Amino acid sequence: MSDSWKTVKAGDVRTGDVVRIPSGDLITVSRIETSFMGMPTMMAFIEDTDERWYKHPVVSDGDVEIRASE
Amino acid sequence: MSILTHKMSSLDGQPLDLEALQGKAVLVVNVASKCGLTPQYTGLEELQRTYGDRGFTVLGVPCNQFGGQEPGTSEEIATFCSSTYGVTFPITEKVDVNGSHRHPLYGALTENPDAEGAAGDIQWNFEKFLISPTGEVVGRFRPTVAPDSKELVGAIESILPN
Repeated sequence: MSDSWKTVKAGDVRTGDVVRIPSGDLITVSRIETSFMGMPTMMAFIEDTDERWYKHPVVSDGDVEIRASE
Repeated sequence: MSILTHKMSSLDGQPLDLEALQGKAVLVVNVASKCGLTPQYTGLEELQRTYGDRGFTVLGVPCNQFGGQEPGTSEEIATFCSSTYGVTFPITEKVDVNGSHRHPLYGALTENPDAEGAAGDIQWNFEKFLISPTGEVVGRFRPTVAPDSKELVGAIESILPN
């Protein structure tokens, strides 16, 4: 069964959400960094798991895709 | 104890003897080829050319953990650095600088605070650590601190061995 996705504002993403970024890569959000690099209009999703550590910045009021819960 | 005791490989896969850098001032920088800060390579190479004969070197550390902005192979990274920016300073293998697979060098580096007293994870590409000739971390500079900034250049000049 294929995943379903929904579009939300970046600011509405919560830890545990799975975000699909434009490259198609999936990020399981472990932490959310506000004011990325001191820019209040930017934030960053951080995946910090045993598999990998990965940081992805987004515009705070921009749209992102997250995996829809069943 | 010097921080330059960890094992690393260079971009060509050969062992890189960090201990050979002891006695030099070393600026360790996590680099990426597709970042908005990538033009900092120009300033880093300028530091290398200006201070290289006075016991200083930049050490570039490619990392793909920030926005996937260092996706290339070792060969692609080497070609990019050489052909685009004429880089002459050493570049290591691609490593993790944060997380459970963080390279031990970065485990030690990230214990050191920046000017605001904040230690811990690397924020983004092109974060810089200045290591003294005796192997101690004497400065941590966040990614937006430019290579030609007064604070960074002043810190380098204050610890040059020659």
